[in-house]
Amino acid sequence: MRYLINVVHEGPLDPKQVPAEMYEAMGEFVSGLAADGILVDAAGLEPTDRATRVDLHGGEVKVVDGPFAEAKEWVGGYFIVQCRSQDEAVEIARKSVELHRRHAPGVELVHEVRRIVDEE
Amino acid sequence: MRADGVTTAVETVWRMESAKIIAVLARTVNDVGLAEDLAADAVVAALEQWPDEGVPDRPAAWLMVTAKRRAVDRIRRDRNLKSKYERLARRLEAAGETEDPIGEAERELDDDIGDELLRVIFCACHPVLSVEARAALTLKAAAGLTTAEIARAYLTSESTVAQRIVRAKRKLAKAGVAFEAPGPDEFGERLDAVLEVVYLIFNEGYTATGGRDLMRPELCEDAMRLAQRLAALLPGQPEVLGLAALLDFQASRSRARVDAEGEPVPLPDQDRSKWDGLLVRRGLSALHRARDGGDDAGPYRLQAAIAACHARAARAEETDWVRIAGLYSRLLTVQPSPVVALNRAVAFGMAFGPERGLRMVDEIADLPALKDYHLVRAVRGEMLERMGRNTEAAGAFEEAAELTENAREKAQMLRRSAALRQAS
Repeated sequence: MRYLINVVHEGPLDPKQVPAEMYEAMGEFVSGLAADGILVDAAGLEPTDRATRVDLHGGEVKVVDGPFAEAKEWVGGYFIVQCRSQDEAVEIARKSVELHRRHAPGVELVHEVRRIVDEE
Repeated sequence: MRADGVTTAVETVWRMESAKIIAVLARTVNDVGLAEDLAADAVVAALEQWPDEGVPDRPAAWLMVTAKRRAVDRIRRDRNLKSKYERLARRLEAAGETEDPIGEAERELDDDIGDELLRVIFCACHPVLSVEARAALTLKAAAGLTTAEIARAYLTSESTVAQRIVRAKRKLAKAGVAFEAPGPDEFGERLDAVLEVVYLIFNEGYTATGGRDLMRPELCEDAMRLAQRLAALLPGQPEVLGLAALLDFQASRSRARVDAEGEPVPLPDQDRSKWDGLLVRRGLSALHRARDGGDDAGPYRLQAAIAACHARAARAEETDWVRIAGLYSRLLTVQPSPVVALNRAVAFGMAFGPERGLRMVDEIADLPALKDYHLVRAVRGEMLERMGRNTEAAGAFEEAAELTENAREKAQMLRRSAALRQAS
């Protein structure tokens, strides 16, 4: 089974404020997941000020460029992991959150664990 | 906490941490079989205690400490173990009296234990064991499966698997298999044995020899996980990367290989949009890294390279058959087998025309291993059809139908021959 773990930040996050140890620890964590054979993919995303949204509202299609001041939460990165149960995916998410707590104090975030639907 | 919640918690910890726990324990007791027993004891203790006491904060370290305590109990109790492990028991006991055994266990688990993990796999795949025993022990000791999960995967009973594992451990002990990686003189051979086990586990899931499902995806995932772990532990081994890539490529097609009715769909007819791009990408990257190992590719790397040719083609017509034909020629020299020879003929037929393919099939069709092999006739039928020799092609498909036991394949062959007879 596959799970998408979205790393959701609350409020703006300046990448420059994230300490170097955090990036280092995250790099180590990700290669550990690869070495355990769990990792399918992982990536960080650029801040939303460089993002573009294509909206459909009330039948109208609109293209809106960032930044999006009103956005409270945004996805800063993701993991795709292959594991046997949601508990295992949750445990992976918990470890990642733990890393943030340890190496990036003050950062508030959510890891959202979602099963990827697979037609089989 | 409710008992089923605890069972899930134990299973999750076991799945994620057991390989490491067993590796560290094996280093301590110098014996994979005993280490696996001790870890299993600790799991039993967890199932007993966690419902009352709650899941501990550091469950893996808890299991480790408990396993060591159980080791002391066992050695004290069992006369056979006592003579061999008395000193170890004293040492473990002394270590157990430290102030922070949990912290100590956690440090041990955080150590770089790559070498130990590798030794566990090499021991579990030791050639003194039958292939089935190797697969069961590897899944148990290195992939974090429970006996029940292995039994489900192999459609057999839990007691059969449990016995298989007990016997395997006994055999390892009797043969005096040490907890060490093979020396340079036997490394290649022993690595082949490991890769074979991983490949067979994958295939068991992929082709599902028994049961109603065409695939058992969990088993494929376990094999892929083992392959990835091996690739991380042995970064300089191109065949390990080749195997990891091959499994990724094969798994990437799992959604496309059967149709809605459960009929197998041949590669050229598969809906490529259903191929899994992430797995293809991971496979291509492993294959790329394997190239650093030099030009002398082994069988897994060559098979992965062939699979990569298919993966790279956005449409079947874009397949680089010339390259595939060349790769099959190389594969035939490192892994001479009639089936590889047949596939090579198919590739040459695709690359250089059916006349060439037919000639090559006819050269090998009388080999004892292929004489009654239905796919030889099917391939002949295909070449003849492409050459417009419809009556002969129909005859070949009928022969193929005659030779296969598989009802679906039989029907498919007869459909093709009927269509050809109608056309001519």
